[in-house]
Amino acid sequence: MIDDNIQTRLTQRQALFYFGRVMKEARGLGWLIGLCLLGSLLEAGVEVRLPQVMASGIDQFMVSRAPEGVRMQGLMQLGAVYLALVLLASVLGFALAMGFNQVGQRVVERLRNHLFAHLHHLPIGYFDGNPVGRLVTRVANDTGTLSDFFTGVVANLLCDLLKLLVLLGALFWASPSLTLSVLVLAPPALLASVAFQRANTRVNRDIRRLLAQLNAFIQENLQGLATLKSFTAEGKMQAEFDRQNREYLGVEMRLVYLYMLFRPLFGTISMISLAIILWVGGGQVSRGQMSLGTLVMFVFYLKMLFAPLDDLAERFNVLQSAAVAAERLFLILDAEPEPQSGVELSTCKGRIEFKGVHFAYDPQKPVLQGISFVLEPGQKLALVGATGSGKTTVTALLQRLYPLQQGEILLDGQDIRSIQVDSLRRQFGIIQQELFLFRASLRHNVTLYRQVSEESLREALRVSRASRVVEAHPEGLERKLGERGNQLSQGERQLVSFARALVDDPPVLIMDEATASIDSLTEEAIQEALTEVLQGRTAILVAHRLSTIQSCDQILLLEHGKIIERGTHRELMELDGAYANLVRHQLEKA
Amino acid sequence: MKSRGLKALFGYLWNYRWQTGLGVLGLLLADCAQLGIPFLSQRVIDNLREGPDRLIIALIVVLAFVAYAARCLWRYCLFGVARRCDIEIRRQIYHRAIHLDLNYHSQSSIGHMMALATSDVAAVRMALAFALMSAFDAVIYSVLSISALLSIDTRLALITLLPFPLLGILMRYLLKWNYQTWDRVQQNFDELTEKARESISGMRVLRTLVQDEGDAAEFRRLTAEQYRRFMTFVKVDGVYSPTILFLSGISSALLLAVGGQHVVDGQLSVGEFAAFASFLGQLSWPMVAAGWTLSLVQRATASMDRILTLLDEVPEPVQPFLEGGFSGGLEIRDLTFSYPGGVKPALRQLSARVEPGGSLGLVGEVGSGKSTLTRLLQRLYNPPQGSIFLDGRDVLEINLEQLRQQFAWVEQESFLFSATIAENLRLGGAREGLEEAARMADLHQEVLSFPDGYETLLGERGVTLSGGQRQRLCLARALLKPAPVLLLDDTLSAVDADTEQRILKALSELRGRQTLLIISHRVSSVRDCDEILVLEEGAVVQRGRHQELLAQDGLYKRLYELQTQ
Repeated sequence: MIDDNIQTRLTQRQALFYFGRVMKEARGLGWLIGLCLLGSLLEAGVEVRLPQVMASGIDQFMVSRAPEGVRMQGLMQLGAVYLALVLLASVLGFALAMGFNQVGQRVVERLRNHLFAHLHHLPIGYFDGNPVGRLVTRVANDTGTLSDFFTGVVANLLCDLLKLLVLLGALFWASPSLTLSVLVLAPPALLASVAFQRANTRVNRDIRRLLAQLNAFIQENLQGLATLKSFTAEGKMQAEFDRQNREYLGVEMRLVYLYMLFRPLFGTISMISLAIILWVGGGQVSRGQMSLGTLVMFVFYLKMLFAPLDDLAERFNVLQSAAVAAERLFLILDAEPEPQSGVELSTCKGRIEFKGVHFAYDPQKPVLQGISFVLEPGQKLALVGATGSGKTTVTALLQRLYPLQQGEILLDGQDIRSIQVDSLRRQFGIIQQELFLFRASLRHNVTLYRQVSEESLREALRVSRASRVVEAHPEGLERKLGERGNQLSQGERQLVSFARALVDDPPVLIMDEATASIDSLTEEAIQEALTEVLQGRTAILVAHRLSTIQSCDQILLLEHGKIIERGTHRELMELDGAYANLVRHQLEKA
Repeated sequence: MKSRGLKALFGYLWNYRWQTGLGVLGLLLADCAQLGIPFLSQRVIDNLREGPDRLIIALIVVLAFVAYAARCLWRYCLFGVARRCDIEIRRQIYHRAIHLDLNYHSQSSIGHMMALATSDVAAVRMALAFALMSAFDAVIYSVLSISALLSIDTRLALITLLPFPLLGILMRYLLKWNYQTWDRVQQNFDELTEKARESISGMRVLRTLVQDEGDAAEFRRLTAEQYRRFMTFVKVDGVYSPTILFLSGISSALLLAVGGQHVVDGQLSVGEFAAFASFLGQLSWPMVAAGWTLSLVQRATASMDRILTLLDEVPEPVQPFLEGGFSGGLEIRDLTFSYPGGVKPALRQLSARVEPGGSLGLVGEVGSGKSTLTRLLQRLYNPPQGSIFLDGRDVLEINLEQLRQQFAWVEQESFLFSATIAENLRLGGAREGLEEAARMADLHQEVLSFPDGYETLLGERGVTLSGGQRQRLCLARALLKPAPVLLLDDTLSAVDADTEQRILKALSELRGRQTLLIISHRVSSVRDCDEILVLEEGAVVQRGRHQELLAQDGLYKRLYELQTQ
């Protein structure tokens, strides 16, 4: 299971390891990365050069004793040089943004595609342990965090560090002593930045938590508004909302205080540094140890020196969360996919045999215990039993949705483990109990991504009686369904799922009947469809309706994963055991 | 300005006028301190012959601390005000939303309401915090620094300031494009997220029908689009800082060429030249801020307008409480009702009468209008005048809260809150009798089997109940409400046959004490009612007792036969 709370900080070694793996996704982009790095170096050089141009303007022309005409001329030229450098820096800045983002976005695109394709090949059991929301966050958001990593960190952090290095070099070269005296304040500034980021992360975590809670509260109240009004609970809920809202204000104010104390710090530190420059540097100028231009240059450099320090801690934070995101992604990518090897099966005859099949999702709780049966081509099998007796598991194992643990399942006499898994699944038309429809047109819901001729589509719709659903709306097959097809009734969804399973004309039909109540008139249509659909096909039915069960060649009654009675409806009624009891109950309820 | 939203924004600020005023004062002080520094350093630089002036340098250090204090002050005041306004607006949205009737909510969506409470509130807060601050700051700062520049060297100031208005205008457009392109990125991102969510939710279907390649191709199309849109965004976003750099660079180059010549001429000292450069260097921020402020305020105004359309909705007037209790006699006279925006009426000319303690059953197919009646009785939607009477009084004349206290309702789609079982049971305010009600709904034993019993948390962070358990919990919740009328709307559809019989038997004890309205598509649930109405497309097609209806050749008999095979 991938947990959100595994770790929030990784060691540097782990982080480097994951970044290495992320960088592997940048295959073929090495030249672009190299170009960007070169560009960053150039940009740093240019930006550091700018105040030097100013300084030489002061020293060579403003305070020099050269003839006035030469000085004027020189200043014009320097102005032009300055402008050219600024233009170069701007163009480089834009090009670098494009370059780094291109790398970042390509990597994110590739990672997303990988991850999504990989999910399609993970065993179905993986999805039982990992909630949908969490996996979606991995695919959409965590990959996004990695793109922040490229743009925010690789690009900016690298550029900042380069700039800082070049800058420090230039400063030392101009005046080592003055540089050292300015840097006296750098360590406390850095420390403050780190402390601020730590506290900031904590407060922001609380804010996110409380805000999510508050929003969930509002949303739930709106969803249950009718209930709430019927119980005249508005006042009670308002009081609860106000309490949560005030609590939220409490953390928000913590953030305000935090920013209030820390953010103005850098401005103040930089002002004090200015005072140091003027005092130490001014003394040197007055003693003739340093030129006036150099002093002014130091003043100009101040801003460049402290701005990156201000951001440094935040950048490292992004780095951390990117490493955590990367780890989560690789946890998924490293999960073992379903084996793809095996013999390709074309169309089977439909003889199904279970030999002593045992199965457990959790070793402590066996679900199937020694299931054996033979189903000849064209025969129908009904699985009957209480919820949790293992009926659905039988059908899932047949499709190899879970690996077989003990026993054998044969299709046309061939062990299903030796059959290529996709070609095995193409043999079955499946109607699940939970009818899942997609937010797309009716047509897409029936055909999905399969190439289906108009003719076979019509035929599938006719046989399944789903044409009723198509005709019920003027837009017909092009009618767009909402989330999970929610504007269709349960019965209508059932008919559409029928059509979806039949489009390929599969030799074997597996159906898990819906337990939820379907209104009686639609139910008639379903029964009609079922009769026609089952004609000539091998079928396994997890059945709840008596009429479905009665027409089957073989009925297995399951209890706690064991077959306790088997036979035809007539035989079992004569036996007058558990099955007969069940049937009587069914009638009573109706 | 044209919008009411802007006025409302200022209205919220007005509530905190003292704090806001104090914040602006802090801003002014901080800016003065900031702008004083170049003047002071100019003094030092120009008078270096006798060594650095210690007094002035000390003054710089003092100013640094003054600036710190002033900045703390305005941050606390202005950002604090923004946060307070934020929770106040959210509170108003929530309070108004839950007091509006379902008529309003059925025409709006939860998504829309949530957007109001989240992104619109956030937009308003951003504007109140940053836009307010940067607007004041930009004005104070540019006025002060431009006047400083003009006072040092008027001609030079005019020349070097040339690029700045351009910067302001450009920022404004860049930010607009920036938002537009980002919106497009976000739209595609939402699609991508939704696609991932749907595919993962429907993984079993896709897996069993072997649709992985088609589905992955569809996803790849979305990620490729994401790449394209993001790079378009980067094109706009990436222009941003280079533009600032370039335009303020032009100004610096002008300063170097022209200002340098003024130094040569002797009109300007080197210290003044450095001070000039400092002022210019800091002037690009207010210009950027101006553009930023405008777009923030524009977005916030639009958000505030949307919020106001909700706050403008007036809840129904409160009628006075009536003296004396109700006994639960119902009369429905020729009731025809259509939902707002509905094409066909949900109910047509329905008439019925139930004596206090009597029972009425409603059967019909899905969509025949059965559930509508329960909503009209409680005025979750208002019925037409003179159509529904409780104890002979038109429900429209009864105080809403008092009216709803007369009904205990179990909905078809049972809604439970993410709270403990006990809290859900106590929704109506009941403190006692929890266990008894749970016993009656055949739930007590199951509740005890949960690790925390009645204190078990339900919902995403807690236990997930089965459909049948949910229904029985809702039933128990309704039984706890001391109301003369019990409304059961397809309440036992997910409960198995044995349990259903036990519950129905338990409920029959209430007979004569509570008026009972049972709605179901199952004949078995209503067979014992005093009168049964059979509905088809909102109209009563048959009425009578169970045996009478079975004797007729009609929908009731057909349903009965279908359901008993």
